[in-house]
Amino acid sequence: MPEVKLSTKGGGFRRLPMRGMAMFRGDLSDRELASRLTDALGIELPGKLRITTGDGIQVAWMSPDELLLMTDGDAAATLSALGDALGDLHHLLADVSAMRVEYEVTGPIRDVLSKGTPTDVSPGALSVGDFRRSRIGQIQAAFWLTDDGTARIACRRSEAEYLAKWLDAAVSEGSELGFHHR
Amino acid sequence: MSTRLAQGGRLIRRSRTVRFRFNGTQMTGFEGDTLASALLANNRVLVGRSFKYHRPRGIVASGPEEPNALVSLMEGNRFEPNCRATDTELREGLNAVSQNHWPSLDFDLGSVADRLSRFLPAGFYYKTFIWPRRAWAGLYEPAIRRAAGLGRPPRERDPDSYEHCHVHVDFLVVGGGISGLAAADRLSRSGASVLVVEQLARWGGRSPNDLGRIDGGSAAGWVEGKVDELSQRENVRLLNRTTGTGVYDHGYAIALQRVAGAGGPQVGIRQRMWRIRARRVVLATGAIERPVCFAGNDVPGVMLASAVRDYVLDHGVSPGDRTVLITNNDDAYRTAFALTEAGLTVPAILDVRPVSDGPAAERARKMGINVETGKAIAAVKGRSRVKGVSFCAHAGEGAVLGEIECDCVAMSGGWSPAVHLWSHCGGRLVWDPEIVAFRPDGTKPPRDSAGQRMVCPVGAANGQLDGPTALKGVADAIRGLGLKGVPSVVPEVEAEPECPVMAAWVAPNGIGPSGRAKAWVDFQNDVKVSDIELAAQEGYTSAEHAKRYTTLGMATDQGKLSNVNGVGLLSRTLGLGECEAGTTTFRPPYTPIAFGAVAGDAKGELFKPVRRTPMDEWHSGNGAVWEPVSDWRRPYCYLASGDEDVAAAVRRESLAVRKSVGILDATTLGKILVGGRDAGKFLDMLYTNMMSNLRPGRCRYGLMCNENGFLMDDGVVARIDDDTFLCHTTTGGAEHVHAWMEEWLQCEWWNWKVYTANVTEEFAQIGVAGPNARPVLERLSGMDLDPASLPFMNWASGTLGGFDVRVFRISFSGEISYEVAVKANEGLALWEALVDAGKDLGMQPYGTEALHVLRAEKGYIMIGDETDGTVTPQDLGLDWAISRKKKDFLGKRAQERSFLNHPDRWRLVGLKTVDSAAELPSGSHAIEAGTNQHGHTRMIGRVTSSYHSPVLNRTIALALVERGPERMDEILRFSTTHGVVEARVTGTAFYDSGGTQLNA
Repeated sequence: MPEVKLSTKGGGFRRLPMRGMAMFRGDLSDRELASRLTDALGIELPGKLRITTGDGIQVAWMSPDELLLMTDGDAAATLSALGDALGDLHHLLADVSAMRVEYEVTGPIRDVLSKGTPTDVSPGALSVGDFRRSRIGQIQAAFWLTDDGTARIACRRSEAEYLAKWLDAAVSEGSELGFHHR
Repeated sequence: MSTRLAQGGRLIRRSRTVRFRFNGTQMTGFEGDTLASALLANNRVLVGRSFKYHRPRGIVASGPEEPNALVSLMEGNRFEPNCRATDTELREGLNAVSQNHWPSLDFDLGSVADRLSRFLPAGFYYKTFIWPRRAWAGLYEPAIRRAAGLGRPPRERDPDSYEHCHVHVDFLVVGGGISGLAAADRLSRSGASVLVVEQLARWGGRSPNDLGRIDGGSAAGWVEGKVDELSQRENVRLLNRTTGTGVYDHGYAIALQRVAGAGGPQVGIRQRMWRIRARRVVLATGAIERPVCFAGNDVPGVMLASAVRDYVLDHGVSPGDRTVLITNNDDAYRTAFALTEAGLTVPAILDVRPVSDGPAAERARKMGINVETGKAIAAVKGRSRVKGVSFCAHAGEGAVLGEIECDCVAMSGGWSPAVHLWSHCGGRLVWDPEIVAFRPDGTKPPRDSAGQRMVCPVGAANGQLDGPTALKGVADAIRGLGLKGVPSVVPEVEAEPECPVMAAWVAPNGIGPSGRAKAWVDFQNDVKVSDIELAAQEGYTSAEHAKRYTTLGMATDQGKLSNVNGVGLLSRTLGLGECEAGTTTFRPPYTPIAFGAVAGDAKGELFKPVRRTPMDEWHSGNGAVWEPVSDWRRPYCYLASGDEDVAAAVRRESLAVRKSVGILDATTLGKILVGGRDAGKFLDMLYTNMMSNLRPGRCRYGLMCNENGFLMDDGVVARIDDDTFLCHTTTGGAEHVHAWMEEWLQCEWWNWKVYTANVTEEFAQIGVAGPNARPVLERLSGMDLDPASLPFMNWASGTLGGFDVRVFRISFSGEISYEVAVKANEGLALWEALVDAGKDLGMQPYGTEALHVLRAEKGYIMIGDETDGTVTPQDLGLDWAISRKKKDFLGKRAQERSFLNHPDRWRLVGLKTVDSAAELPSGSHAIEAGTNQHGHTRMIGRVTSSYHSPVLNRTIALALVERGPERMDEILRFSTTHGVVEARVTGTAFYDSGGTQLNA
């Protein structure tokens, strides 16, 4: 399956190495819980549909009571620090480092994304710091921008091959959309 | 004859010759031609045969509304039927073939239907082919289908690529004529994002041919300038060759972009479907000219007046040397002017209006054109080509007043606003007697979720047919949207006043019976004036019913030319007011869409996502025969060598598990983490048995029912710690069970302290089963797997061969069995380590079929085989897994209903065929003497699973049978496709019913 593809016009993509990921579930509107989380992570919690980036960690808003923590290296240290900090406050933590794969897309990223997702990916609706859970083609996926010219897509590991083949088609020569990027 | 003029043609480049073929004949045209204009330039007027009567037909229109000139393009895998020659851009190597004839276009045997036409009126097949009834399917229908029909389906797989894209804009403008461009200009000045789609390759719509000067310059110049200006704006996107095909709820619209022409691209995308969310849709779709219904109006050479002047002005093509014009309006006079200015002859303008003394008529008379007012066409001479017309008084019944020699007739019955997209989402229409047409009813627009008008019609599409009114209307409509920064100045269009159009649904007004039967309303579906009148006489008083009876407007063009004429005629025949019979319903798509574009990228490798486990490649490399299991693919079995067949492989694999050891990829099983201090209480509600008293380190098999008490899913629950459980589900049930849990937690038990996480994909899970399972795992070393430390239905975590694992001692085969869970990214490495460790013990990888055989030998149920949504755990003899201690669980109350406890319910038993080798297919029914209340053979059960058991060397089956457990040792008769098979009722466990192997 195509893991890396670089083309000049349509864009390119590559599969990223695995990194630590942890699922947090808890009541984010609980101030005590939110402040213990913030302290333990050393990073602001993301608002609705947002992602925050700190030193070696990213935190993405998955739903009103779910966060995805992404860490350089494995997630064990983050998980244990969080577990200690939250104590008996009601929550659930799970190491999900092997559950998803990430692809990095470069080039006319908004055009590429708009072929796969019904979400609005125009500059006014999606900028760095935004995080979306939607679909790409026929699979569920999350995506966000790491800078104006780079996007990341995370999907289930079992569907990585579909996403790679989908990206391969979406960036192929002669399929340039020219809508968001002229 | 039709020919290329020496001069003119604003769209063609005479320096660029393009070669193409039509019905095998090599022809040439110019760059900028459409297939239709090039055919006319080659004097090819007859281009197809009609649908029902196989009448010779020629080009009628000059755009996507064309009803007649449907051709098949290209050959082989790029063959595409039913393409309109009028909006097919000519390109080098284009290969077009006409349709609907045999043996040839010019000599068509099917045209005998035309001679029989008086026996084939509207609805003839409803009346004629009733007797004998049996003959319909075998004789009449196939014969009719062969004779009627449009084009033929492609036979090969389409090699081209298609894709969808989704965009969000403030405004979608459909139509790139002057109204659409003016609207886009105004909208975009407010800073709003605007997408303009235009179905043709060129911009400006009809304005270059029909309008006077705009803002002091030519209309074409104004259009070019506006397109330039708009394409510079950052917030505007212009897409030509893109048809707005449908408008739906919530500002959702679809447009189809033809990225590459006929014949497909060398690289890249052929067509792209744009799925657009717009805050507002601005419709600037223009208007479509109507034909006039006179006798012989379908003879090749009779064309819409607008089309005749388009071919002259756009392509430098003369449709005929002598053109007679018939009209009920002033606009059509433009055609006479264009023809005369091109040096062609217009022998007469037959104007059905009693008086025509406006500036247009005056100019015509000045040019020396004979304007005959109050006249109509009585008949057209010629069969496959116009040779002349005889004319008559429009007010009368068709008595011939004179004859005119001509080879082209230009007709105009007025203009109908293209209201299709307005109507798609519920916009209502109103009859406007001033323009003699339906236009959008501004008081009943399509509305969005906030009740605001979602679609805004402008220009000709809104019934503002002349340039100045249209552009003023655009300005008013956009002012009404309350945007900021929009200029107030309106472009000035030079125009002369026009006399009013006059309704004329047939010509002449008192047309006789023979004329009515030769006056066509719908060219593509061969519907005549007489058919509409017949429908009215037979009691069809609504336009919708008359449409279905006559098939008016039901062809691929959806009656773009015919609907209003048809409704006008129906109303007239019924004695109603003008078009009072109402309209039919317009439905998307506006023009047909290729299946490839609808499918988009969902074909070939991207047809459907297939979920793969971490060991997928290993399976591939080791002879896996795949089976889809929900969205996953799993090995059904592994063929050990080239000459092993599937049955032999399943036998080998299942015997390996019974005699030594087998290894199974069980990754696809659902794994849901349930945590929180109320987790036990929650699982007690979800499962039929008790889970809260499970001790950490222990596993328990559980059943899950829906509110109706029916078995929904099953699996093993492991308690991880005091507050955490890991629930295994079936492969297909993982997502559903997770959603089911969340539904109860979010909607009903929102205050329980429980969270769930679907961690199915986090772990690879490997089953090692068989008498030698323990030695295989022990060879990897690191964990104490002694039965005393890890007895059946316990689990432990530890390190096995360097991998961090959880080992569950659970079994679905009745053998000693371990399921080893490891991080998914280490799944393949652990799998290979285990395969290595088991090699000298003859360990075999086994697939889903051996898994099924093994579980059936033990009488273990499979969700989806033994259950079908109407089966309770009690039906399956699983009463032991239903807690009597618990006050409640989901399904408990339903299971107390009398019919779920009825003694006659079909319940699970085992079956052994009397002939041990007999096949007893799943789904076979047990039959009994006598009949039921419907007079059918009495059925008392059905086979739910059936296998050949290698270890028992016989057929075994599980079945649901009426009072099944009460019938032990009874012999039942099963009806199968290969006759009746007899089987003896037994218990459900066929092998090791005492469980000695399991607990070893």
